[in-house]
Amino acid sequence: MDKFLKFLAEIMEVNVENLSLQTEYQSIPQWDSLMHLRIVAEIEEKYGVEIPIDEVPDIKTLGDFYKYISNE
Amino acid sequence: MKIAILSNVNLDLLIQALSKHNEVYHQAGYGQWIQEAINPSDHLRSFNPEAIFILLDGSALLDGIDSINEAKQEMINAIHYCENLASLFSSTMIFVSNIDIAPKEIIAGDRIRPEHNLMNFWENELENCIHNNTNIHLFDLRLLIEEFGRHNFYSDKMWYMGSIPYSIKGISGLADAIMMKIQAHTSTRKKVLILDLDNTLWGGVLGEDGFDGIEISRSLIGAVYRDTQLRIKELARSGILLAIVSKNDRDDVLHVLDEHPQMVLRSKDFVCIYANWDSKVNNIVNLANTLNLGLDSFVFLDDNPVEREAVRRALPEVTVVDFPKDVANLPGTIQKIAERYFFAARLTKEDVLKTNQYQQEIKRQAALENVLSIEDYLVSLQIKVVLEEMKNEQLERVAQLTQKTNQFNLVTRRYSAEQLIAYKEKKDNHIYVATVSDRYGDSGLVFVLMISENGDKAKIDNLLMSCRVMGRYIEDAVIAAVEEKLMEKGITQIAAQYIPTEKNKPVKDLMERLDYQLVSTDENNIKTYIRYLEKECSQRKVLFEVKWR
Repeated sequence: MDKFLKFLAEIMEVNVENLSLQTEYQSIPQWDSLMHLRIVAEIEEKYGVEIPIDEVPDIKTLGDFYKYISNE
Repeated sequence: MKIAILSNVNLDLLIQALSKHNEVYHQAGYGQWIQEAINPSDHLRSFNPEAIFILLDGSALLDGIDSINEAKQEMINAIHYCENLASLFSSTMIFVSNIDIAPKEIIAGDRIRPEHNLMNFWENELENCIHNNTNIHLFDLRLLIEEFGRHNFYSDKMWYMGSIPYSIKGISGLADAIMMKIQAHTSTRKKVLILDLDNTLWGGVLGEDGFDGIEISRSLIGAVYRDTQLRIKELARSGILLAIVSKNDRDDVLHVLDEHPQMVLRSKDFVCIYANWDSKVNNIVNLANTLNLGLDSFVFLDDNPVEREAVRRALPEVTVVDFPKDVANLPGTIQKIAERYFFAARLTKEDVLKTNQYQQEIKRQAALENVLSIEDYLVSLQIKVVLEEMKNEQLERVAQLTQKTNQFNLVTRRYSAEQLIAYKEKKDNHIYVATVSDRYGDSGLVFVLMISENGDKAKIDNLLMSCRVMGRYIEDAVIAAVEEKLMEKGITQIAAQYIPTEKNKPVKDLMERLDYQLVSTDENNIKTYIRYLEKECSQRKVLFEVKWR
């Protein structure tokens, strides 16, 4: 999980201490709608998982993203 | 660098990536590129970009269009918008992409895909557009996509989620390509490629393996060297001079160059051949003197790391390129060298003839050693100078001269083609150019003199000459002819300046020699001169007549 947060911190260019699985979409300025798309694409690419497009609107926290890589 | 990205799709991620190292204009909303091209926003005008990239997505451009003719009309319109923008931003580099249209339409298997026809139509239209507009340049988006492969470059998901057609990888590749393009267009082109022979232009060592033992052929490993020579030959055709600096016996080398059936490069392709046992450093210094070029114009390719290191240490101005670890990559390395150091957006007539011209120059120098006085020699050359006001077709060459000339350059002001147009458009500004030929051949357009007039006064804004024709008093004859013309117009005095740089020492005292009176020298050693035209000239040498065209 630490690795996952570190990965996202690098993409968003924020300090990893500012992120947790509870961090919510749009609660930090870096995580805007454009970044949201980018995170989907970066996670798919790095972890080789698929985040179906109709599920993307339901992703509200970093924990929601984490489910995709921890379940599989 | 101030860059504007205009597109018919959402490229916010690209803009974000580019913003790390550049100031990037953010178009309001996406798909607004047509409005910006027809009637640029105040925001774009005041941003004053140095480069504008128009990146068009083929599928988005033709969305909703279902006939080929309608699609072609849409493309013609799009080209007009680009041309309009280019005329409004005449001193900005405008890069227009070619387009890729991913084949999506479901059609019968034997039908040629209409997308191919349309992509080619766009390329033809764009080619004409680039030809007719000096500030429009090609951005080869299609090649980039081909190299990535469409399945890597595009992302359906990004498109359906955010109207972004490209994948994260694709966007990052696009950002790199844009930076490379800007780098290529803004850096100074090197002039000479210095080549080693053994294991560089052919496989093996000539001195050991002999004429029949070296590897160069149409297949297997010998083809590496043949392909390498093909790429180098293409580079030479674009105006780059080739020279050999190799530790070998000269006669053996000439034998291979002239007689070996598989060689692509022949003796005449090289401006100088140094095949001897002297150090490469000494040979390169001699080469620079013979060609009258600065060491920073040279790129050195050699498979031997010891030689590379020796040149790197002794001559840090020379660009020493890394030799590939696997020789299979050698032809590709030449392509990279061409892009990185020898990029040319367009070729001028002078570029194409360059090797020939330098070879003539070397003959001239040989002739010089056989005559007594310099004046006798110059007269024997039968030099002809034709002077005229710059014409549009000379624009590229003049811009290139202002950008590349270092030694014989009075104030070293660089101009792009667009800036030259802007200069010339001002009333009372004149750009005079001279072409020079002699009995050995044609040197082409080699002299540029930019003068602004103001009532009975005139000012020299730029004066430069290609170093190929230095030392022949061409400047004396040109200045005399131009002054005569100015006098006819009623001008009585001309002001000039000399601005010192690291390289323009050859013209440090030029204006004194041309009978200009030194008025002042400031703390930066910038010298200011004036010349009253009715005053007699005592020092300049007008050895031949100049013809006006």
